[in-house]
Amino acid sequence: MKLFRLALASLLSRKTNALLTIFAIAISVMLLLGVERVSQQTRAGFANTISGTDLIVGARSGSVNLLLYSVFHIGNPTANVSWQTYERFANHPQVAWSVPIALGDSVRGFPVIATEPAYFEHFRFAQQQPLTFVEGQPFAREQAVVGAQVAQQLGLQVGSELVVAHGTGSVSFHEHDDHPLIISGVLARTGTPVDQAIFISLRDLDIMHGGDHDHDHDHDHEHEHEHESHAGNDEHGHMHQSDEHNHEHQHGHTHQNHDHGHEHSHQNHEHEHASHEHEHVVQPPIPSISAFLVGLQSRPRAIFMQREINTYRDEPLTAIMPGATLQELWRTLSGFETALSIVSAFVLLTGLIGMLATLLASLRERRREMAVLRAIGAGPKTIFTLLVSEAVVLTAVGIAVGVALLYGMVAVLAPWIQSSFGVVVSLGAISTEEWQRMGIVLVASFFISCIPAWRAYRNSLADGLSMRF
Amino acid sequence: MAELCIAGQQIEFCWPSQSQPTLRIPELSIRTGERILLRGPSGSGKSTLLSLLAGVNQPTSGTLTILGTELHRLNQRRRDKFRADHIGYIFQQFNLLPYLSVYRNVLLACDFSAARKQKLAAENLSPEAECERLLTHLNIPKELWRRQAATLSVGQQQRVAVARALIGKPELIIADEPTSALDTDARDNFLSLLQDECQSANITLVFVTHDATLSHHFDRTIELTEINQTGVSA
Ligand SMILES: Nc1ncnc2c1ncn2[C@@H]1O[C@H](COP(=O)(O)OP(=O)(O)O)[C@@H](O)[C@H]1O
Ligand SMILES: [Mg+2]
Repeated sequence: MKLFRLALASLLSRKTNALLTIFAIAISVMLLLGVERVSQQTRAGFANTISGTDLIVGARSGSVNLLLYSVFHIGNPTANVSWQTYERFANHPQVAWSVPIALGDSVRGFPVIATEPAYFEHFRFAQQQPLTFVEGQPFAREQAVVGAQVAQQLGLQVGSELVVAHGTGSVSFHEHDDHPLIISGVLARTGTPVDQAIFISLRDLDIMHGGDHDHDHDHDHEHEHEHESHAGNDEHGHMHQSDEHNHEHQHGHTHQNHDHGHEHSHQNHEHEHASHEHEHVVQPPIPSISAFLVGLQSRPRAIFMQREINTYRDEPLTAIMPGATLQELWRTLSGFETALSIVSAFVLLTGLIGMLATLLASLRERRREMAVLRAIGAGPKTIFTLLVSEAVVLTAVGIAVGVALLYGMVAVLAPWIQSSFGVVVSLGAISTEEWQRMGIVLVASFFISCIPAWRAYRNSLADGLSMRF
Repeated sequence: MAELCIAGQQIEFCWPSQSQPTLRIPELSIRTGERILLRGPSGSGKSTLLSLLAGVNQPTSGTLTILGTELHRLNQRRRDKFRADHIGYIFQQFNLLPYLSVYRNVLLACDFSAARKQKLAAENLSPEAECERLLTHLNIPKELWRRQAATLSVGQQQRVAVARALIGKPELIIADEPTSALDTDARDNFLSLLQDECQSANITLVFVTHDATLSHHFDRTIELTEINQTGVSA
């Protein structure tokens, strides 16, 4: 104990060196643990992103690419799938359900996913968990549903307005540009990319993109002048602002009731349109989509259905089984992960070599100190212990600082990592594996410090008390 | 006849890195309580002899008995403990750990030796009380006690080193040219304080110097060149 105090005092007298050594070790430990943590949580997050979907279909492209944009909302499809093709497969006898999605826009970095309300019914994550609403319900026209992270970060709740700007925001289409959507629902947190997503209807996306002024749109225009008496029509169009106005100042309850009634009938209408083949009669909500999710009547038939889609004549398509592609993607990434681990191991090695160099350099200036200790009765073994314990203490402190840095970094960077990569990095407790890694670092420092300690041991024997330095 | 504190026969010592032995001493005896001046030119092997006396190095051949203990019969660990318990060692310079306070530097000798603490306890003294007594007696102003050792003058540092060597009343004090870095006044002051303490506690003193003018302070002077038969001299 006395010896420990002595080692500490000695160390404190070489503060600068000690701090630099600690810092070097802290950084390497932070990297070592950080890489492990990110990859572990990515792995866990990966497996949980999607389940219950048998096939994802998009225009012909790499399967990983299709998975990335359709599930992780990263990147964009190179080509689209026409609505006709979608309808065709949606009505395929093997298909139990299908949900189209169209991508491309974002709000303050959060991807906008245009889809149908059925998305909330069929999408599953983790162990077949459905999406649930903390608040509200699926969107109708001119409405949006937001993921938990979006709601939290943009401070949205049911009833809030959200302005969706198209793409880069450079294209302007009369009032569409700052055309606000009303939040109809907020989803519960899932720990998947859904948390970062904003869901709107396909029709709204098309209109925002300056889509054809089809009958829907014209219909709105017809009613524009009489909407005070026929307010429910706002479901179909984008005269929302003036309607809001009405809603607030004049119509109140009656208007809302009206609205609801209409909304339902509208949905029913869409439903009908999906189940019966009316595509030649009913205009598609959007000319083309990015991808669609498919649930099959019989899961084992997925492989046949996949082949059928992949060889579809009229349009080049790619169908993937999400589980298999997730694994493929993970394999790609795990190479990257290994590379990162190797790099961080080398960083750690550098840190330890730095410590070794510092210890060896300090031996020269510490020879007097050693001689004094020898003179008052310290044995060469004590000298050895002193040096090793110093290294181990430095490393232990370095590890502690490294862990603190790691947690600090995670706290600061987690939201960014989550929104940029869809990976949820949590501030969870230190895992067994992390303890193991720290243990390895500590043991490594012990062995490395034996080099200077052995030298000091030899010196103290060879020098005796002669102080010839 | 007082018993012998140091008794050596046919001591021979050769540094591992050297081809010639540095020391070959047929006989060396120093009585308990004697104050010896060991003199010799630089490079003659004075420090080497002291490291044998202190049990840091072992004679290549011959026997060396300190306080009735044959050092070569002890292993390294026990010799280190023997030194901690029975010998106070003072270097020419840099005796103190610069990062510890003056006070802690003195107490360090007790930290490494249970025997010294026991000896003090037997006299109903705490190490701290003895440390304070010694520092006071060796003219170290109280306001310096808590200061880092490195901030003291060389003369003050050497006196603190004496306090550390003396604490717990070891039987033997070995001083290797402790005054060579001091000016004449500081040197005389240092010598008389050291002598005082050794006398009152009946401590044997082996004091090394190359300075012939100091011999009148001591009971006896040993010329290393006279007892050493290697004929090595600078
Ligand atoms: N640690 C050592 N290793 C090898 N040779 C040494 C060592 N210490 C002293 N010597 C050699 O022993 C001889 C005597 O040195 P030393 O005992 O220091 O002389 P003095 O103290 O009288 O000046 C010198 O030739 C010196 O080179
Ligand atoms: Mg010498």
